Amino acid sequence: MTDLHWFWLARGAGDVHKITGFGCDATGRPSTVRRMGLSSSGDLSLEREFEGLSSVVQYGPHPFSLPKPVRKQQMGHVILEMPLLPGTSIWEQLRALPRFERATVGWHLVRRLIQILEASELGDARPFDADQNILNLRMLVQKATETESQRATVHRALADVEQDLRDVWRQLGTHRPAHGDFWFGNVLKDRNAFAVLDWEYYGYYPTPFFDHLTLITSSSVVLSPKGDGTLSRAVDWTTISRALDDNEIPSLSRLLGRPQKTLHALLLGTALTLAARERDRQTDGNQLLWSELLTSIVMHLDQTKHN
Amino acid sequence: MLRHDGRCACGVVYSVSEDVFDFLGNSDYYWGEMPRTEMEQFLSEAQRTGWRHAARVLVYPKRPDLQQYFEDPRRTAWVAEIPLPAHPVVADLGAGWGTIGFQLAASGAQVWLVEAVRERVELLRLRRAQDNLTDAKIVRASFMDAPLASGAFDLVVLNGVLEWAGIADKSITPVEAQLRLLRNAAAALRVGGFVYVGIENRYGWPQLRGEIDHSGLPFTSLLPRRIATLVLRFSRNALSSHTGGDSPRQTTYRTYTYTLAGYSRLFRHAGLRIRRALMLAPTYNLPKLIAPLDHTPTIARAMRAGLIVRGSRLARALASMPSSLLAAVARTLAPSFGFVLERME
Repeated sequence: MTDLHWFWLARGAGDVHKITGFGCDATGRPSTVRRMGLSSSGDLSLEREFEGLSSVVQYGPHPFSLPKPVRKQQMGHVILEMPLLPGTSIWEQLRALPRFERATVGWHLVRRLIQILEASELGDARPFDADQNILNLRMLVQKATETESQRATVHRALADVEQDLRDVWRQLGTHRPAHGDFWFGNVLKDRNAFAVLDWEYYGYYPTPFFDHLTLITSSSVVLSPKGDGTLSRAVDWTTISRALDDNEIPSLSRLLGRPQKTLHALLLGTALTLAARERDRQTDGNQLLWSELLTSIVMHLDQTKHN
Repeated sequence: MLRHDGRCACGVVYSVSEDVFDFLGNSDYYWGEMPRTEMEQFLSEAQRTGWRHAARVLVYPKRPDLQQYFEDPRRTAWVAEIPLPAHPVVADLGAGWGTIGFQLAASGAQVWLVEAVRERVELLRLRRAQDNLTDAKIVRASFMDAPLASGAFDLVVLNGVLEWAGIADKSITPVEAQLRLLRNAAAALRVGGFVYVGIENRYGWPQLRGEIDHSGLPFTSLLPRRIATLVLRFSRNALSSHTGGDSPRQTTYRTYTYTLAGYSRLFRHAGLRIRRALMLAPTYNLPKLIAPLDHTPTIARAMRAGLIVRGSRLARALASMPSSLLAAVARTLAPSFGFVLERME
């Protein structure tokens, strides 16, 4: 370890409070990765990541690789050190492709990753507590919304789908923890092998298929013909919600054997959770993104109801 | 290290008011990120509603660039490259708004913030109280004559300070002033302690593109210093209008920056050895890419990673250059450097 030469990157919207170091050997080949907190908020997020990753590593086997972290300290800050897994983030690979090819390859990968998610068990199953989950979602509305009128609209939309949510919870009976931030940027691909990074949001979420829906929604943004290839910019939600409904929701509906109406309800729960979380993190771009997503889903549900 | 009886071990008398050690008394020199009147308004609002709120209301709408400068935790990202003990004793010379000093204090360091400008010291005092970092000590003194006890510090921070030494002490040449500052910092180090210097590259990429130099004008760092002085003589008071300060018209170019080799020579003359030389990009004030300049394959890898993140076609083309060329580009054109220095024994 002592022979490694380190360089550090701190660029992503979520990386304001922490930096990522790459330990390179004498030939410049990176073999070890370090994530270091720069503030109490960064330290907390690394603590969460360490706990999440440690739990999920122990729970295996998994259909994807996981780095085994070691926790250290430097001058009061948390450092997680782990071997660098082979591969490049899917998002980096896709960005190198021309736009049309990016969308084709990207949606193909979404389906592969959903199959992997279906084959994954990330922790012990717990029974759904329907009343508690509804309460949790209602509490998130306050955090996820900006204005009183938006709040009222989302509450109304949530009330409309409550029965669908209760039905799916009753049918499934139990749920397992999710990765919590499952998008292309956090998945490495090396030929046909995948590795999943960034486990700071690992945990139990009120809605099932949380990772599936996060992946589909985030992909619809980054693969959108009008998107600029980042998650942090405002995008044309009408196009995206249409894309979701024309292609991805029906395909997920077939794969999971659930009606599209149920998936819309789950999508609302997922968007609500993500919007609340991003507003809490106060990262500029993503905050806007999920808040817009929430609004567009609510509008879409409203239209579907009236049709 | 400083007692409350008003006499430093160095013999200088100081006053203690509201837990600030004041070595400058009635001196009323102003230098800052904004004009004095705006700073005073800001302080009064900060006193009433808190410094963060005041900055959001009064400062950031006019100067959005200052938000990261004052609040971004990445300002101390270079700390990852310094092997410090768990609770180091740190001196932050020329602390400004205290972002670096208070970030280090929040992570467990015992920090002494040294700042000369009265208004900034007042802000440091408010910030210390409002952020509940009451262990941090504030000293009102010039960074050139900071009353640092010998062998007392694990780290002395000179972030964006060394280049100003020639302005802060005009009785000697800029190089002599820089050497004096570095020697004072070196003398304050404990055995195994470090001086950290964050500073621009004289011929850095931003300077070549016309970024404003410390003189207040673009391109002056690139010129031979005598020519830069001539340019200053024929310009208006560029330095002062750029920084919102009270400084008199600058007629001599005294804000010296250097190349990598130039810094190495300067540090050696000051009795300091480079333990780590780092490229900091885009600036030393907000480093988002930190890479070691002494290892060609690693700096090349870091450059590639940094360029790929940018995503543009040009960046990708640059990333495909051979490693030795990429490393040479980094060493020559790095926007700024971070130096971790240790005393030569």
